[in-house]
Amino acid sequence: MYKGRMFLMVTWLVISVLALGACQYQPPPPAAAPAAEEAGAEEEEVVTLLWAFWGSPQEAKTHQSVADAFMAEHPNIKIETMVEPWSDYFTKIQTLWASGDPSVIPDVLFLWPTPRYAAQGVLENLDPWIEKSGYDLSDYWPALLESAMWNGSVYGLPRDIGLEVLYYRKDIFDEAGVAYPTEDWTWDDLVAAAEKLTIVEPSGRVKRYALGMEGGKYQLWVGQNYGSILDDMRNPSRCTLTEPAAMEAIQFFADLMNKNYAMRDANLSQAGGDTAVFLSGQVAMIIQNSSRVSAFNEAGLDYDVQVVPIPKGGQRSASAGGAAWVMSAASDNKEAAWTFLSWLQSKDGGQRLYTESGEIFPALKSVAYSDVFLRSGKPPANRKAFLIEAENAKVGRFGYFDEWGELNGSIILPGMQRIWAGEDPEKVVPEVCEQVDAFLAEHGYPK
Amino acid sequence: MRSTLLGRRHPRSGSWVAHLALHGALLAGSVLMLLPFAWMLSTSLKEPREVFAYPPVWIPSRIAWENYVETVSVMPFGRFYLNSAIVAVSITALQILTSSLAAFAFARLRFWGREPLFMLYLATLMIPFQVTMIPNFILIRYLGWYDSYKALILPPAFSAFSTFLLRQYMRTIPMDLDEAARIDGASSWRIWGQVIMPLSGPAIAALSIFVFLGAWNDFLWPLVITASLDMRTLPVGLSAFQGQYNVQWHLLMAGSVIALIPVLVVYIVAQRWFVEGITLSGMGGR
Repeated sequence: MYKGRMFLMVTWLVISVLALGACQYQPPPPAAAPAAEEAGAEEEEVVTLLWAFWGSPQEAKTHQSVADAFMAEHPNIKIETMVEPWSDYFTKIQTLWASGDPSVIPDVLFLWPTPRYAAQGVLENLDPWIEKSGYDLSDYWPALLESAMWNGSVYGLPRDIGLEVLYYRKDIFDEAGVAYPTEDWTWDDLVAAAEKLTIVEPSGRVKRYALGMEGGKYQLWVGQNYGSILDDMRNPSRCTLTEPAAMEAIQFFADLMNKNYAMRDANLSQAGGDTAVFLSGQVAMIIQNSSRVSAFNEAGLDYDVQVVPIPKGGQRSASAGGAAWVMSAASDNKEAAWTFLSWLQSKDGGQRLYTESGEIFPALKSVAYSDVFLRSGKPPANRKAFLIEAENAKVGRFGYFDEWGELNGSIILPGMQRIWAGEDPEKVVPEVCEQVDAFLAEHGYPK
Repeated sequence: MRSTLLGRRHPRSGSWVAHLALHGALLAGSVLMLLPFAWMLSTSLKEPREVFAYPPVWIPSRIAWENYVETVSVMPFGRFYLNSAIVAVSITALQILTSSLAAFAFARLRFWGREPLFMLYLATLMIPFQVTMIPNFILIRYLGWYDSYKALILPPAFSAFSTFLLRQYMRTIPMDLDEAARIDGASSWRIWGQVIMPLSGPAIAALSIFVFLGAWNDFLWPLVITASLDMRTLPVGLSAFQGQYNVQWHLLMAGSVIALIPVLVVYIVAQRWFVEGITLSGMGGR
């Protein structure tokens, strides 16, 4: 009886040991010890860089083709890639940094938000490198570089700019007999169109909303109305959401939801986010960045884009922020890393390739104004809308100080969620501001 | 099936109502449990635009088999599978070996400082994995095991929880058996292998299932300790379908169906042990 069991156990052990032995995996030589290869006559050392980024399998393919293009131009630099899904990327990178081991820490990596990590001292200050090589910073959209700066120095070079435009389904507008949005649209025009586009069934269920927009993007309305979240997004002293300009904008967004013109934030995420509801026709418009273009093109939607409507006398206020390429302070191949990083952010290098892939709206003006972006031959037709928003992009969506993530995530956004769920802004916003001020005081702001 | 409510095999008149009610309740429970799985299967065969359609679509208008083809082609799924299988099987085997030896010592051998040592061992259960993750990582790097099977398998091969579970079970075996074996000249090794282990069958079977499932589903450690696509396990590979801006639900669900199959097979084959294990350890619903 027990012999049979013993035999089974032993067999099991033997199998697992064999499996272990058979699959002895040889890790690649660490980047710290670049293999000296004989490159024919000239004995050129090949440097290996570790390059990390997040992305879906499709995006990872684009990144890999960019790496291949770079290696073709620079035979003495080898790029090894490391890809992680967006949701786990930061866990992984922070573990690597915490280990302090240069052989596993990526030399060049994708990052957002740059200032938070720069404050922790894990990033290389790029100022000296920019100065030495004469890299041109003036080609970036206004205020965009600020999203990758800390303490007055540049720590990253943004790849793209995450500004929002208004996407609209032409077929739904036609069916409802509503004229397409124009560049001159104001908030009032948006509301007038929304009235015609929204369909409420007798049961009270909303069959189609006019607009789908994430609650977290409320700052767009606030900025358009000359309002702000804090008095200074770098070194704040108080919360300014209670001021009339900001309150008016918050009330405007809340009213859109209360009148069933816009989907409530909770319903939007429940329904799978703005991509899903736009595809299924549950909304006629969404306000979102350029990341949606490839998904809509793939699904063959009949859609176009337009600038976001502004209040009468208001300003365009797209968010000037974007994930940036950075260099690890612990890199032991900084010379090669800078060569790669600056090539990624050059007009004929990485920027062009990423723009051609249709995945980004480029950070460099020269690329955005070139045929690569404007005449790609793919929808949306009105690509000019992106340029108009980009020319007017502003800082204001994100705080560029260390505790911003905590402040926004634990106080501001949860507070605003109450409004998107139907509570009265007049009651909620002062409460939120009170908590924000207390938080700032507690952490010694202004500094 | 013998109903516990009735406690007799041949229900008399009137008791069939109770029977019916009981089975009705059980049926409702199982439908509730199985719905998410049905939805997963349905979503995995939909085109992207139907995933969030309202009203919900149970039967896709067109069965999109290509989701499975795409899922398998954008990722080296076969490799993830192999890795998950190797890692889960090895962890299970090694953990049963190490924890049964430790449990044997704590339950059957008398030595100085046994109880305090055991308490100390148990105390490690109180430390969350996130706390030890970075020290563990540095240790693995130092040993040169980063991004290898060793790193995936060896750290989880030791477990205070499994030791505790087996020790509790082994303590229920009468000491007379060990003593009889010792008088006949058996060593401790032999007592472990030929007396205690065969008698601990139910506990070991139950534990194997939990350890295997835990290893199969583990996410955080494989994520931080592997770097190349070739060393990824299924859960880490699957999470790649969740992008920064959108989740490819149809592909994610197709991948989940593929990943679920072996666990389902294990469950069907070892159903009896599952039930016994849950009643034995009170670890239901983990």
